Amino acid sequence: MDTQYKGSQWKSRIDTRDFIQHNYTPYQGGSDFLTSPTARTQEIRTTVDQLFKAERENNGVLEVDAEIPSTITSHAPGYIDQAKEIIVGLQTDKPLKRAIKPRGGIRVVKKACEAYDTTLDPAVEKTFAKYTTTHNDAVFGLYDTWQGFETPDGKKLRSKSVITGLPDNYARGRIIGDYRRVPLYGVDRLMAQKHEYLNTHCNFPTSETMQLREEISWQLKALQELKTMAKSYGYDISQPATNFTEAVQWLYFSYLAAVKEQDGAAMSMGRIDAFLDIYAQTDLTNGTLDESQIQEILDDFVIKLRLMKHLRMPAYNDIFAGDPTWVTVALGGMGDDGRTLVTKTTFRLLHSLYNLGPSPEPNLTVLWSEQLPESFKAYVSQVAIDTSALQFENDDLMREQGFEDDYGIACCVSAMKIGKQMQYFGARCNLAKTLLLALNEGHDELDSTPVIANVPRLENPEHLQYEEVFEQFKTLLDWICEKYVGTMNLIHYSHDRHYYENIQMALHDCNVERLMAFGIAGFSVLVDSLSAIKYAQVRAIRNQEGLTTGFEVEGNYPTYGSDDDRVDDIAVEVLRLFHEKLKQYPAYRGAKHTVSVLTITSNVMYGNKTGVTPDGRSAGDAFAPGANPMHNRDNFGAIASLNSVAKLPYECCTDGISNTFSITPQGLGKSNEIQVQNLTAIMDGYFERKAHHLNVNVLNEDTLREAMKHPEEYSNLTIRVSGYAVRFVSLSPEQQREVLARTFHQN
Amino acid sequence: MSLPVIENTKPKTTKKCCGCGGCESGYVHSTESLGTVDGPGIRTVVFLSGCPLRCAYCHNIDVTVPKSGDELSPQQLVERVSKNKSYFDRSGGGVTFSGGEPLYQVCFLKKSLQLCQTAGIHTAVDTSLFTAPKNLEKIIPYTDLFLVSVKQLDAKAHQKLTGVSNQVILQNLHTLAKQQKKIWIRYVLIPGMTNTPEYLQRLCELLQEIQPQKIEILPYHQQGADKWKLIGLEYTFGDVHTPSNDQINAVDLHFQSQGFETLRHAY
Repeated sequence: MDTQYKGSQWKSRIDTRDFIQHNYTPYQGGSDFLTSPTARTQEIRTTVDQLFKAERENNGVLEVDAEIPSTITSHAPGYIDQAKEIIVGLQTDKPLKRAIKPRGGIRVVKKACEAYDTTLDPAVEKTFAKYTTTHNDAVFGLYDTWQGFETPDGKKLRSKSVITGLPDNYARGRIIGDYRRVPLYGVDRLMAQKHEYLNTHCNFPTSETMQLREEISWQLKALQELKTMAKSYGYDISQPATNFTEAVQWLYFSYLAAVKEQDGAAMSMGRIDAFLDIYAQTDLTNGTLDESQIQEILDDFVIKLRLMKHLRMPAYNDIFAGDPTWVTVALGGMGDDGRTLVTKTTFRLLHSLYNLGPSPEPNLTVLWSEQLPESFKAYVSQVAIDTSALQFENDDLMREQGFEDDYGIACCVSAMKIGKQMQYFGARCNLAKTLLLALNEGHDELDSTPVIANVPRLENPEHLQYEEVFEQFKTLLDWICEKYVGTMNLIHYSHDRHYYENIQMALHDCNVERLMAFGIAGFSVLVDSLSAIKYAQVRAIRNQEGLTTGFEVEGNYPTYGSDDDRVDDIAVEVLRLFHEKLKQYPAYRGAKHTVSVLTITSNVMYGNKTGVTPDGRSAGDAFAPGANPMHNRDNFGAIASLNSVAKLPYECCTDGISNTFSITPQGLGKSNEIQVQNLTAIMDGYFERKAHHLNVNVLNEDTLREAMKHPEEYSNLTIRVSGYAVRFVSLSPEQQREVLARTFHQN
Repeated sequence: MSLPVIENTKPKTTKKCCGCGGCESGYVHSTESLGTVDGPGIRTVVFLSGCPLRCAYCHNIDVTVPKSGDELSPQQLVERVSKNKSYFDRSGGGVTFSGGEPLYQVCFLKKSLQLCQTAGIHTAVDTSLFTAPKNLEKIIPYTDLFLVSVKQLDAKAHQKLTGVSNQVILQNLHTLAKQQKKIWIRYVLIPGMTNTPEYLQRLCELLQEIQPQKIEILPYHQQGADKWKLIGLEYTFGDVHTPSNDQINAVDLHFQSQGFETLRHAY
C-alpha cells in the first residue's frame, strides 16, 4: 500500500471513505483555475460527435453485435482513436457497437436485434432459450404458478397498468459498485478480502450462507476477469494505482466491467470527485502533471462515459425515453466533520460540459448543502443556467437521514452508501389508477375488465363522499401493496439467481445492506382528485356498466402546488400510508422498504392507460412527472409550487422525491449576475425546507418548439426530464409535447 | 387612440376602500411567488385589483377590474407572503405590491405593508403615484422602495395615454424625493414617443431632482394584448412597434451618461 497517504483504518480493511477523509483537499475557491480543452481533446470530440451523428442517422443504433453475448472478457479491446486516447476501454471492440446481454431474457434481445435489422445468432438463441434459465424465464415461471398474481379474469396483474415497468424482462440496475476500490487497493487485495470474509463468516452451510458463498464465488470470478480485461488493454490492475492517470484508468476499467456484464436500467458511477482529486493533487504537487493535463485526462474519461450504450427494445423508450444509461455522478456535498467535499476535481468534472459541450450523460448530480462554499454554489447555478444539464439533491437531508457522507445516487434520486448498500429496484405503481379502481368496484375504468375481486360498490356512487372514497382507497392501497411487495420479492429472488451483478457486488462489502425501492406514478393527479372530492362537490358520471366516464366538479378546491396545507396535507398522508402499508409485507432477504416519487418518463405511458380522473384530467392525458404538481395548476408561481413539493416527507420516501423545474432565463432575473444569485437563493430556500431533489431547466419554450420543427439543428439540446437528462430531439413527439405542456415559469 | 371603457370602474358597494384606515379586507387579483423583475431579489408580487388609470398599452388590463380575485384580510395576505420569507432573506428580496394600482385600495395596502414590515419583510410598491397626496402619506412609512412608472411628462400626452392628468403624480414624486425615499423609476421605452431627444432631456432634468436609485428600462411589448381580448376589449396600441436593441442600448447609454444607474434585461 502506498505509504505517502495518511490514515490507518483504510489500510487495514477495505474503507474508501477513510482514505478520502484523511487525504483530500477541500476547495473553497472559484472556477478561474479551469483550463480549456486541449487540441487532442477537441480532435477526439470531433470524432465522437461524428459517431453520434451517424448513430442518430441510423435509427438511433449504430451497430449491433448479435453473436457474442457480452461478458467482462467477451470482446477484444476497442478504441476510438488509439493513438490519441489517454483513458482506454470500450464495451465492445468498436465505439457505439452495442452488445447483447441475454441473461436477462432472450426474447427481449431477439426483438431488440430485429428492431435494428440484425438477426440474433441462432446458436446464441438456442443456448439461452433451451439450455439456460434466463431471469425473464424464471420470473414468468414464478408468475405462472402464483394465483395471487392473477386477476379475476385469469390475466396477470402486470398487464393491468397498475404495477408496470417491472424489471422482469430487463436488468434491474440501480446498483453502484464502489469502483474506487480497484485503484485504491488493486484487484488482488479485494479478492483476498473476499476469501477472508468467507473463512470467518460463512463457515457452516445454511441456505443463507450458501447463497452468499455462491455469490461471492461469482464475485471472485468476475474480479479475475476484470484483471484479464485490463490485461488485454495492456494494464496490470492487480495492484493499486500509483498516480492520477492510473487511478482514473483503474476506476474506469472497473466501471467498464460492470457495463459489459450488465445492462441495468441505471448503471451509476457513484461518487468519485474527492477520491480522484487526491491523486490529482499529488501529481500536481509532484509536478508530474499540470492543470491542463489533469483536465485532459478527465475530459477523456467523460468522453468514455458518454459512449456507454445498451441494446434495448424500442418499447423500452415508453418508460425510459431518450436512450438513458444513468451514469450518475454525485458531486460535492459536505463531510460529517463539517469540511466540504467540493474539490477542484468537482469543478473539473462539471467543466467537461463546456470543454465537451452539454450532454445528458454522465448524469451530473450536485449534492447541495447550505454549507457549500458560496463560490461553488454560484458556479453550479451558472452551469445549470448555461446547460440545463444538472440536477440538485439535498445533501443535508440525506446525511440527516443516515446515508452518512459517502453515499452515491443511483439512477435519478436513489441514495445509497457506496459499497455498503444495494437496491432492489421496483419500478412504480399507478396510484391514480388505484383510486379509479376504488370508484369502480375493482374494474378497469377503460376496458371494464376486473382487476381485483370483491370491491364493494360505494354507497354514494354518484355524489362522491370524501370519507367513503378515502376508506375504499385505503383498502385498495392495502391490496396493491401486498401484490407489489410480493411481485418484487419474486423478481429479485430470480434476478439474484439468474442475472446476478457479479462485478458490481464484488465491489461491495460482503455483508451488504439491502433496500427495496417501491415507486409511485400519478401522484399529483391522485392528490388533486382527493382534494376535489374533499373540498368541492364531485359527481361521477357513469356509463351503463357503471364505470366512471367523467366527473363534474362544482365549487373550488385547492390544488397541490399552491403551497396550501389543505391539499398538501393529503399529499403527505398518502405517502405515509403507502409506506406504512408496504412495510406490512416482508421484503426479500430482509430488505428495507423505501419509496420514491419518480416516474422517469413513464408519466406519459401511465397517463395513457388511465381514464378520466376527478381532478379534471382527461382520459389518456399524461400525468405530471415525479412529484411535480400537475401542469398549469400551480397558480401562485414557482416558489409556491416548490414549497408544496418540499412538504413531502423524505423520511418515508428515502428513495427520492423528484421535482422538475423549468424556467425561462428572463424568469430568473434581468442580468446573468442576478439570475445566478436568484437560482442559488431558490435552491437554498427550497432545500432548507427539507425538499429532496430539483431538476433545473433554464430555457425558452420557443427553443423547444423550434427543436421539434428542426431536430437536426438541435441535436445537442439537453433538457432535464425526471431525474435525468436527455437530448430533447431523442424524445418521441408525444413526450416532447408533454415536456412543452409543463409549466414554464416566467415573468 | 380612444380609451377603453370598463364597466364597474367605480365600485358600487360600500366595501370600497375609502382611505379611512378601517377597511378590513381587500381584493387580490393574484399573487406570483417567484417575482424577479419587480424590485430586487426574489419577491412575492401581490397584484391588487383596480386602477384609476386606463393606459392604452396596459399589460395587466385584467387586474384593473375592481374587486376581482380573492377577498382577503391583510393578515391572510401577509400569511401567504410570509411563507416565502426564507427566499427573500437569501436573495435580498421581499414583497412587491403591484396591480392595477395598489394605492386604489389604500387602507388594505397600508395595513398589509405594515404587517410585512413587522414580519421583517422588505416592502416595495409598484405604483403610478396617481393618488391623493394624503393617501400616499399613509404608506410612506411602511414602504422601503417605490417603483414608480412615469408614463408621460407632458400633461396632455399623459391625459391622452392614461386618461388622467399627471399633475398629482409629479407632485407625489417630489414628495417621495423630499422624504428621501428609495425610488426606482420604471421608464417604458415607446419608440418615437418616449425616446426622442427632447423627451429624454426633460426626463433627465426631472430625474436629477428626484435622484432615483435606479432607472429601469422597460421596452414596450405587446404581451398584454391578449388579456384585452380576453375581457372583451380592443387593444388599440397594437400598431406601435416594440423597440429594437439599438434603441434600447441608446437610451441606456444616455441615462448612464447622465450618471444614473440603469437596470434592464440582458439580451
